[in-house]
Amino acid sequence: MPEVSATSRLPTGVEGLDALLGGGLPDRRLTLVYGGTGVGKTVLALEILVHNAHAGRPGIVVGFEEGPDELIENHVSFEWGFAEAAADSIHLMSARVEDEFQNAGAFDISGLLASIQAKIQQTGARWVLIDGLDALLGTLGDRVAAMRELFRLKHWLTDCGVAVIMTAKLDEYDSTGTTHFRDMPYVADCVIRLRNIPHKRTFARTLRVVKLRGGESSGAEMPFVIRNSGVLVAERENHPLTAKVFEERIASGIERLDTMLRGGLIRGSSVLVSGPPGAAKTSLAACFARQMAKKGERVLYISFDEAGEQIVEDLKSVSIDLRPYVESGLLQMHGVLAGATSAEAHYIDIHHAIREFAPDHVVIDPISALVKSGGLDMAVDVSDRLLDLAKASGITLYLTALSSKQTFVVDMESHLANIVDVWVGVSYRVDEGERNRALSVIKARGINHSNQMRELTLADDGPELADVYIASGEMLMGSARLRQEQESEAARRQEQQAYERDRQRMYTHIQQTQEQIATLSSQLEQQRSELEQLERQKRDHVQRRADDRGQLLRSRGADANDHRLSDESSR
Amino acid sequence: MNEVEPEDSGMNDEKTRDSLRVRLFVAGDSPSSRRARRAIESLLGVRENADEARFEVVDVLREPARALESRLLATPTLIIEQGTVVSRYVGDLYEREDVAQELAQALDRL
Repeated sequence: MPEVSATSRLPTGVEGLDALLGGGLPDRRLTLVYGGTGVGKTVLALEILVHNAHAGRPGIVVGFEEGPDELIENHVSFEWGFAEAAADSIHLMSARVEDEFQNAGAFDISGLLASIQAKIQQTGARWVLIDGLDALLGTLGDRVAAMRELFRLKHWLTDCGVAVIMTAKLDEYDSTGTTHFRDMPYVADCVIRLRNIPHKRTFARTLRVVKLRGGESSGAEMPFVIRNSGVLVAERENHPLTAKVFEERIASGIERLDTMLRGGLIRGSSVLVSGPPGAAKTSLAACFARQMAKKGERVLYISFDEAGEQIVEDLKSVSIDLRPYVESGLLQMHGVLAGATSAEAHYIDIHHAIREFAPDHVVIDPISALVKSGGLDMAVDVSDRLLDLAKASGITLYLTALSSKQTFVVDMESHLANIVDVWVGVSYRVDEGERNRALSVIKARGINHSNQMRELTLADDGPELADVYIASGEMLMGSARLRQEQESEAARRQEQQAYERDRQRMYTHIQQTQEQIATLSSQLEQQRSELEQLERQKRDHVQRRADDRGQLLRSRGADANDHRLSDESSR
Repeated sequence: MNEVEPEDSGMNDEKTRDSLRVRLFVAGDSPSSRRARRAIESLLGVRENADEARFEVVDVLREPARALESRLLATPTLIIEQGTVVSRYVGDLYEREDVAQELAQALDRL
């Protein structure tokens, strides 16, 4: 057997539990798992043994309440494969007290320990589960004897190099409980308490590490669920506040909503679409899911109180076909009954699904259903943690929420509205005897979004946004909008016609004017050339007269004084 | 309490008679083990044919494999085995009239 230090831990392999235990259960020490009937003690302990067996650390199960066949039969549905392990690396020892016992005086459990020890030597086991030891200790009859045997067990196990888990029925709420088992927690090195707490209309299972000798545990009472995959314990992660930050914009699935958001949603952000029943919240969410799956990204769609198949079927009526993406595996639909378990348990399931499927985007439709699962406080707390989880994982969270006048629903909606990045409100407006859907972006962190209302219509080819008309301070939607649109169209057409007419007339005017300009230009040209001719004639005439006078003077032999005469005559 | 019906009585009594095996499992020298040992030894001591029974004391601390083999939960445990009938008594057997009676009846059948 390998030498291990006293404080070394062996991982349990149970989702969420190792984090609570700071790594695992103490090796070569006694761990007590206690709680009321049916709370899941045996399931938890068996799962720990199976995980360890898979990790090469075989185990022994000593069952005081269920024989080997029963144990296998009762746990065969779990995905961790108990039956396979039991055939190989988990060794079952039957110790059903009622079969064996005729009590004949004082006894101790050395016989049991010797049997286990022989089995350890035979199998090389590193883990021993003693399931329901209280059944044996109960036959001892008194508290001192039970305590003495527990110490015997503890002492024995330090010598034999195995980690021991002991389960016991111990219910704090049961006043008729057998008091002498209450010493068990004092003897054990690690104590895990399981409880099944009635919470509103549901039961919430919780797990608390009451004691962990030589180690630190948070001591917080954490919710847990039992699913086919095994025990899932909630984790309260301490997400760093500096979560992944994206700048990339992704399409919302509704083109005009992207325009209103100046380019779409921001990857990894959180979106809330709230509205009354029938406001097309699911259609909007489905459009987003389809858009992302179309791009080849993975989408997890959690639908409360509606089966996934039903949603896919219903959406066909508004021409949103999700089936191809469900079939390709990019879109995973999870239908969940909200009231069946607590909001905490839903968180664990969603967290588990996220871990398994590793989606890029998660739709929760409607997240407000969580108030049905244990009240507002828990729903608020759980939605906060879902947001934290999504932020830390870079997952876009698309939430829908029901609006109603009931106080707790209002409170849930306003809380969600506070914590999400983008809040889209869908409401009904009643005009002229019809009910129309109005959509607006109420809030969008980090986006200079449009503040305008749009009418949300469910056209044959899916949801669409249309402009709304404002007429004398009233928003017009539905047929009022249609009528307004038609009137506007007629007016526009008239305006266009008038414009065309005026334009034609002006063209004609311009043409006429241009023609006039052409005529006038040619007249001008004519007149200019006439003027030029006139001037030339005059110049020629003057020249000729001067020439004639010069000839005359020369012929008379005139002197220089005669120049004055020529000047006078030229004026 | 454990009625034994031999399969055929009369003719071959010697052969069909089931032998008696009495085993006492103890854990070392613990007080209850000591008491049980004393109790069974004194019970057998008053019977003339006690040596016809195969009596054995098994210390599980020395032979844990035998504890496992007999699916032992507690010590001391007395196992009285005659044919197909097996009785188990857990405890120190101190002042146990029922154990004394069963053992006496089993010895009578030999």
